[in-house]
Amino acid sequence: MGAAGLAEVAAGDGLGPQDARDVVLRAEHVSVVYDGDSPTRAVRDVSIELRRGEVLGIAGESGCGKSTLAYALMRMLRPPARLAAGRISFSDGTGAAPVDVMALGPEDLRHFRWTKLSMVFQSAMNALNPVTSLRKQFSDIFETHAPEMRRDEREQRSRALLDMVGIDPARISSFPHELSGGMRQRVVIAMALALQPDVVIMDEPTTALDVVVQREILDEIERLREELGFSIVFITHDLSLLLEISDRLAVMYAGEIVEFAPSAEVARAPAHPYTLGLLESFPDMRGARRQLHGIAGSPPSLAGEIAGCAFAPRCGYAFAPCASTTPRLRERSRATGHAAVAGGSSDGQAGRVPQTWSVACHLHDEELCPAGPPRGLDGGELTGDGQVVNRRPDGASEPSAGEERR
Amino acid sequence: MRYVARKLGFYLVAAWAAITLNFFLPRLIPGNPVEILMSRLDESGSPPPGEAHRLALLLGVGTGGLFSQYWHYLDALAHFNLGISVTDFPVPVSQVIASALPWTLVLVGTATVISFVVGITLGALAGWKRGTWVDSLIPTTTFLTAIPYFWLALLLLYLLAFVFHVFPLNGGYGASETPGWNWSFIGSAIDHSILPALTIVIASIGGWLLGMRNMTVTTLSDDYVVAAEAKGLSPRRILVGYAARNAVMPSITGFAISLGFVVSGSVAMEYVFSYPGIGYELLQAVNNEDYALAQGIFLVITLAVLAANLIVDLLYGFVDPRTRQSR
Repeated sequence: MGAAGLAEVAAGDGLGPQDARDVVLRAEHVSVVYDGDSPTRAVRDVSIELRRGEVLGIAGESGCGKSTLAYALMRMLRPPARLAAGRISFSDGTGAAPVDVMALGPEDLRHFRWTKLSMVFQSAMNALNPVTSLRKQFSDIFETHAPEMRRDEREQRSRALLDMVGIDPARISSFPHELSGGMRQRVVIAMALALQPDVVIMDEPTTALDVVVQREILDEIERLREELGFSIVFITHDLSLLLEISDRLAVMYAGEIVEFAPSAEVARAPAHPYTLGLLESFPDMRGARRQLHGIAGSPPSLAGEIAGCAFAPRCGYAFAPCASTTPRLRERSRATGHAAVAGGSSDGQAGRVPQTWSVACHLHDEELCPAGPPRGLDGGELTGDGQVVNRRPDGASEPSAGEERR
Repeated sequence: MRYVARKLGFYLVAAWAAITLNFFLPRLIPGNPVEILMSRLDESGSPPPGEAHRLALLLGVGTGGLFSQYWHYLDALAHFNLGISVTDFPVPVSQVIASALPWTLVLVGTATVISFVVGITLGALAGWKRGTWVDSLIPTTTFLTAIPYFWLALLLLYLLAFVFHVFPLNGGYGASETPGWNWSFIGSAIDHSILPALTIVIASIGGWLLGMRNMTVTTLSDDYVVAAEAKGLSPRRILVGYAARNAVMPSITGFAISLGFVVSGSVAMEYVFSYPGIGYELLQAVNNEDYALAQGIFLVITLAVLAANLIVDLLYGFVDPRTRQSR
């Protein structure tokens, strides 16, 4: 089963048809190519599904295709980028047939954008038109998508939106340069929510902000999501942030998803060496003091084909097949003892979260690696410097001496 | 409002500086310009009594202390007394300028505005639809801009007026017309202005077009334009309200400069078409060593540049809120 399996898996993993209908945005086998002398395949056969009301995190180093994927989801790719393959479908939850986003004509696409799917851009500083007031920029949205609204209705709604994100409605007459970075980011979020879309794509929405403001904004997003019930695709290179706010997590490397898992569990026990490397590269605020490790090397060039596993040259666990065979994203079979959840956590966890957990790594392939993944990637507790670290959010797991990784 | 007042104040100071410079510059020239001027005036006929004194005041070489000379100079200026023109003796310089200025302002001003508006519009379209027919205008217009103006003007004059008689050969109006507010005169003036205006537009549009096109291409990749596209706004709204709106800023600065030179910058055009404007008078003044007229025209040009800059400064504050002073 490759990435194609995701959709089928979603329907058959215990949640049943209910779950399938809950998928609001589904991308299948999306590939994006930047044309040129040596075409760059920035996104390679990526499939994701976003459920209603969920926060889906997409993590990865710079240049791994996160933003390109986001732009592809909105059909915002501009030459030389083009969608080489893939399907994107959207269902609004009313039971109507899913919309094939790729098949929308220019007018339908314009209407689709922002009413169903909106976006918070990487650089909020520059996402607002510098020469027009906020009033005008809110009006632009309403005049386009809700032409029946009267002027005073637009004004009222715009003010309400500003108020909703914690900005004094009187600032509606302000120009972007009169606002602080955090305020601008709030305004951009208010604009993204103006038409109550089903999905908001957030492309590094807090990267340019200091941590205090970042925290405020994240709390604001979380509050609004609970209030309005939209789904979020949250893109960032900050894995620690994602683990905290997302329900599920897709880790991208070299244009591919290498691990797609429930966030709470991947934080505790990642299955892919790359995810493990990312987790080891930032400190755990509550956990024991430990040595931090970066991932040596840098991502491969995305021009042309990559033989074998893209991560193999940087991977401490690489073995023979990694150099020649490309691992495919496959569901971790936790039922077999192969990647069984180890330690005292198996009972509660496996039954409680019936979500798929896919990983693209030969270590989890029974045929190539009959011995099973090494400790640390087998679902056991993450360790650092010989210390077993408790990463379970509920703190229920007891650290045990037998789970050292190396 | 405070923004306007501040700008106004700044320009008043600048105008005073220009006027003062106009007073002191001739004083730096060695020799006595009054004597040279008076001898020339004597050739043309007998100058009115006191003209030597007036010239002396104007040029700042009169009797008395420097400060009192300067005061008299300002006093003369306040009464629009710029001396007497040698070229059109004995018409006062102020009157010569007053009769020439409207011709230049209307013709060159209109041509400059047309060139700017058309160039900006086509430039925005060319940047928006890169690689289409609008974009292919660029090499042509750039080529026309690169041709020396007088040569282009002579060529068009030769072809359209001399060979094909589409437009009149020269002058601001027909020889049989008497200037005044009647349709026959206005029609004749318009008829005479089309070809000169056309040459100005053809020669200058390339710069606007190219500059605007490139700025539009730059702003199109700016985040707020991408965001506007994601918002599903109509292409027209994105182009006008987001891309072109921001791309036009540098062009407006350029427009300010070219507006200032509306008064002075078309000597070649007025010479080629024998057009009765300021440039033509300036040329006459230089040829006839008419210092009073030349100095008067220079003063008007300086003030015109300042006035044009003031207007665009105010306009710029309206177009780009970032340049406004915070409240």
